[in-house]
Amino acid sequence: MDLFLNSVTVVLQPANMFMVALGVFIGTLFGCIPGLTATLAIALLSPLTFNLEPIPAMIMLLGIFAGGMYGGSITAITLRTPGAPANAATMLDGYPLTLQGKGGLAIGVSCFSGATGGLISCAVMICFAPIIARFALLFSPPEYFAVAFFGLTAVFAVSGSSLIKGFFATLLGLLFATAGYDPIFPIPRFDFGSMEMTKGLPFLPAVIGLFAFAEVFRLTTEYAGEKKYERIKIGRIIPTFKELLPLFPVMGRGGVWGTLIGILPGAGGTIAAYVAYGDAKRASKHPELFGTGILEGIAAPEAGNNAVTGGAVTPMLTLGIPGDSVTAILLGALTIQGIQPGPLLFTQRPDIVYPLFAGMVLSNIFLIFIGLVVIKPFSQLATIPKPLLISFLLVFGVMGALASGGVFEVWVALGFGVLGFYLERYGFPTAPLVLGLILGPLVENSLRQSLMLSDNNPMIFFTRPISCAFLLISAAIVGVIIYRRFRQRRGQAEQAAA
Amino acid sequence: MPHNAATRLASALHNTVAGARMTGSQNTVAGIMGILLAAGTWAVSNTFHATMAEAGLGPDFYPKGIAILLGLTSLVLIFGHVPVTKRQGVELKGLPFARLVLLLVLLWAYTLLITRLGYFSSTIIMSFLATFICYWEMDKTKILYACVTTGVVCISIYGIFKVLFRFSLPRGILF
Repeated sequence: MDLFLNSVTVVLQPANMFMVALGVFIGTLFGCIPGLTATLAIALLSPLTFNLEPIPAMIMLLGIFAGGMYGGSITAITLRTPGAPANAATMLDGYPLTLQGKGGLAIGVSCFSGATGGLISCAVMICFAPIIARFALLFSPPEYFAVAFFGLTAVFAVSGSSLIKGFFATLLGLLFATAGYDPIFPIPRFDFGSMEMTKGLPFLPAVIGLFAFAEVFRLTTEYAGEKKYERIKIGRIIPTFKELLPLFPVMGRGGVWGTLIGILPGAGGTIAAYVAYGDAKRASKHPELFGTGILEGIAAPEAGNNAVTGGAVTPMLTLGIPGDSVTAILLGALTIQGIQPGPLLFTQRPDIVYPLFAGMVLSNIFLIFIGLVVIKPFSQLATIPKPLLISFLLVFGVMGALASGGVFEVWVALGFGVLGFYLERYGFPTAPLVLGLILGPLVENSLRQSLMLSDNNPMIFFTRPISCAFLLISAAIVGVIIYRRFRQRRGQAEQAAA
Repeated sequence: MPHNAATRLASALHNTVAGARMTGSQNTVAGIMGILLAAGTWAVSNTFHATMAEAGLGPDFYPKGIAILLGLTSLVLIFGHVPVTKRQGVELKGLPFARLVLLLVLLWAYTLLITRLGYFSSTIIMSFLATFICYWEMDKTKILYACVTTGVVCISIYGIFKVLFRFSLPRGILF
């Protein structure tokens, strides 16, 4: 706790506070424009952090994460167009409230709930991350392989509609990650005579391609003029204490759900928001009012999706294993700063890790102020002309890729942009590919080191309790999903026959 | 008679292609690409030789393992009953396809030119053309919008990169 309190003074330095505020502002801005997400914002801005010190760089990116989760609720409530999938549940009660002339109040509640959920997840992270890190110090290569395998399995199993397509995308990511020098022998692989390729495929340009360029290609091919939105008066924004007080238990439960779901690989904000919404409805004395425009229907999903931030960051910092695309990019940004996330980070670099916690707390506090100030201008951002957005993303993407290296990086981003565009069109999830790219070196290294330790005997993974447990959980996840999809298909076939 | 055979063959081919379109040509195409990638990976991996391979599994072990898994997954995509996801977005033909191709060509040219012409000159051209590609077949007064968009994009990105984050942008013949 002392370490955390000391780090608060670091984060409260004006330059660092500015970076947090900037991150929250950018995250909210990207979050509330339909099609743009916090993931995209972090992917685009990560290369710009090269010139910064690690703490301001990372707290800005964490601020984007927090702001992005909230930002999507603004247009979900006012225009029934969620800025990101994680805000779709907020729309259920948000838009009816707008029709009642209480859109501003709904966004105000969303802002307070998001900050509360985020702060709950920060509290959990600050308490439990050091414990998890201490436990992870016991890990050796077989355990690391099993945990990385678990992360990959959970992500490909739950993303997308098909297990096979998720697995295919994971394998693509793992394969691309093999480019560059072999981790054990000094032999370049898949470099095709290029000096740049001996260092491997650069991660940040790849995610710029997968998220920014793929989105640009989608927007360009689908552009058919601007969608017309009616201008709606949103009314009062700041809720009274009397209005907020009954919502705190709902926010608390949503926050706990969001944190727990955030820790699980692959789950993410969308699931957290719906689970928190469903839980609030079940616990409510008047569940029939959900969906008609009540504030509980805003507080629960917003607390849930914002709480995912702390939950998702915990395994990334403690184990070095990201659970989704955002934390994978954050991990990439940390690595570029010369910081290797994992259990040793807590003992070797407490000067880095605790300010990150403090930065997350501060970004959730700033969320209340910035979030409330920007409501009115940002509520119209869905009407931003798409060609402007396309042009901005294109130039930003190219400049970001250039900033992370040179022209080679731009070609990589372009290649991944085309790949991401086609993968999305044909139902292949991109999150497993991103995780495969970032976890590939860890998976290969730990696998080969484990096999070296055991004279190439794969039983080493099953004779050690932690690795065995993670591999069994991975198998169970796949087994359960296959069983559920089999039952679903059989049910559909029976219905068709009847 | 030959005419009938040719008609039947053409009809069969058409039905096959149409059927494939309906029942999952996207999976088949992805599967074929996966198999080619797996075969290529295997072939290239054969060239990785470690001098001390006896110290552990060689540098080709892991890529080959991935190639095998990728090949098997691709076979399942082709021959298995993998559900066909409803295609996202518009059909890529006509204007949308032309826009995509033009945008890719534009990006290719922009990447080549930016280090020679510099940030401002190349971005003004690229941003104007990118906006114009979107306004294709629309009211020609949109050219004015394209000009405004170009100005906003150039200045805002210059502000973010150069002023806020102090990144040097490519310099060229004009700026």
